[in-house]
Amino acid sequence: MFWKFTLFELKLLLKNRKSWFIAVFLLLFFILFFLYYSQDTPQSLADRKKMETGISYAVFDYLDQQRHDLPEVAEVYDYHTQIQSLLGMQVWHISGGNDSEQYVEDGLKLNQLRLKVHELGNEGIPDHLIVPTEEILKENALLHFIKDNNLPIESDSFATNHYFTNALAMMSGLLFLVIVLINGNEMLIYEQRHQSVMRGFPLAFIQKIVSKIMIHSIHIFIFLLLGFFIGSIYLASTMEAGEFSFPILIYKNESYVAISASQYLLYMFLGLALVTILLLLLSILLNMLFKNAFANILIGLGIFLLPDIALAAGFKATFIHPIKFIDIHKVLSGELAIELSNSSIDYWNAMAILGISTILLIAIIYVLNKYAYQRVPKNSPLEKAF
Amino acid sequence: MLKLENISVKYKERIVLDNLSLIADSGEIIGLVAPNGTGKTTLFNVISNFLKPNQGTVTFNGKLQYKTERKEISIHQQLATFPDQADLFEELTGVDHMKLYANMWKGTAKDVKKIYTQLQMESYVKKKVKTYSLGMRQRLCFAMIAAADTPIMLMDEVMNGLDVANVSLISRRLMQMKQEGKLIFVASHLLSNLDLYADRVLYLKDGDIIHQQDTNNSADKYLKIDLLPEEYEKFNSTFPLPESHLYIAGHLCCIPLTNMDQYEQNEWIQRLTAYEERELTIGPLGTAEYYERFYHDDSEI
Repeated sequence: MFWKFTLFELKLLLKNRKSWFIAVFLLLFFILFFLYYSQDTPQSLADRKKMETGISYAVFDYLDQQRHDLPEVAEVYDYHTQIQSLLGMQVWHISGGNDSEQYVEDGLKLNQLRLKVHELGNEGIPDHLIVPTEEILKENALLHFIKDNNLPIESDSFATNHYFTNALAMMSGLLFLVIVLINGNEMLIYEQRHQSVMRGFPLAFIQKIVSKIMIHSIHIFIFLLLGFFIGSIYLASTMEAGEFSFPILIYKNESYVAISASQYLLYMFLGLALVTILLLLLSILLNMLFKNAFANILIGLGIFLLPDIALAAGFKATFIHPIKFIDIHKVLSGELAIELSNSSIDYWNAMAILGISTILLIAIIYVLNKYAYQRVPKNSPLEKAF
Repeated sequence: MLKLENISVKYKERIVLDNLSLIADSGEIIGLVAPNGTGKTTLFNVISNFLKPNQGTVTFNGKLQYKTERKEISIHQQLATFPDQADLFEELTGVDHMKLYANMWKGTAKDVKKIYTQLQMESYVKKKVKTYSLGMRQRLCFAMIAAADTPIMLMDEVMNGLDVANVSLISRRLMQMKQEGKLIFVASHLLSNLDLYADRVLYLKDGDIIHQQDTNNSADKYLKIDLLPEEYEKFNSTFPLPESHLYIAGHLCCIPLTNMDQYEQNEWIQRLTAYEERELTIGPLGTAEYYERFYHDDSEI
């Protein structure tokens, strides 16, 4: 019975124009994103290092003026001299010297010195010229990964990573929330429009819900993966790259680690899968409570924006932070940990909380349905909605 | 098979069903008759637990009641309700709808073709519902419930929008279902049609069943003739009518023959032959006549 009902739900989904609109959007999103953004070439590593060297020279000017009067600044100046020298060597290694191994070694030493300067309180360095600790840790993690996996330091595959992390960053969060909420806004509500046909099936409510969630999440996910696959093929062909062993940085255990692009994609899509199920369950709950398709989208969006509103109003409200975990890209990149000033927000913590929230939603839906059988009518009879 | 005990449904001050009780057995077609808004659909909704009444219980097979979801599923495995044609899925075909009902209740759709062939739907059943006329949709709704093939069926307005040929077709199928031992409730405004297949006709008024008409074993026979009120008054003053006579809806005079001997019956027939152009009939009251009796404002004197 369950599978027959699931097949019927699938048939309805395939006949629904809205579902096809979402499918086409997901199919085209990545390729259009890559088409548009591949017009801009990301800054090359050599250019980036030259820019860092330029900034470092500027720091020298400030330190030089104060180092004779302040011994703390003199100490920073000494470290900075070494930093400047290592930066110069790095530029040489990737330009004329072509020595990746030495570039990485120098980079690791450079980061150690930068962290040392941080420990000394960046005395004498103006705020706008300080390299943030997060950036140093990110660079360090990246260099370790390149060293451990013997990767070349400059390749088109780095650029490929840059494009698809950006594409997934755009998809994750608000956009994905809207897509799932639109997809799921009528999951139960449509039954009310066809009430006399759909009511009275000898099937448990929770089985119906499982069937609907399954069909809708598979629908979203198939087209999301297909869209990403088509986009990746285009990117690989235009960038002459498609190597998924190149590193991407993620935030983990209050630090940054580099993982391979394939692992990053696995984390990302696993996270999006959990978010899809969670949001579809939320849609079911909102359908049950408000019996209105628009309410589903509006309330869903409202809930997502709640932590931002609270933050803007000056409330930290840590208990509502998990709502933002549905932006898996921000969780993975560590942006959310910085944004919410909560260093414990990393991928696995977020996934655990999203998992618990999913179970909690299932429990609420189950209890609400059970409660309908326990309620005793008072002034009016009780009408069964679904 | 089905027992309703003291069912009451009220919306604040408005009472829809008032302490209604009923027992129904398998192999029976029960007609439900009442004007619009008198609780027929509400009664069906209570039987199928789409509406939890303020008071009363619905019991199936002597023990099953709507107390938990599990029990509701057990009951719903035996009960299907007639869909409303406005609720059909426009983008799906008739076969899709029939397969849904067949799969959900019987677990297989192997009889679907047989059913739509019997109901003469082959020419359109594979087209999308949005192309159907009112009558086609109604036939599809009937085909869906036939595909569900449950022991208990609740059919609200089953003959709506059907032409004479289709009314006859579905009436025959209903009688066939009765032979198969099903308990069928039919709410219909096609009153004379109910006389064809219903074993009992229930008349709902003020939230309760005010009369149960046994269409198979009615012993009460009447001599029936249409009379204008002034003709009726004149006739009654000339030949005082028996106390148990009925003058229904300001036009139908019914004289009970049950306790009369042959001579007396002939005498009344003789008196009424004076109205030459009027049809004189002898027989029990039909559903239409009962309907007029109970629901026409000045049906009784």
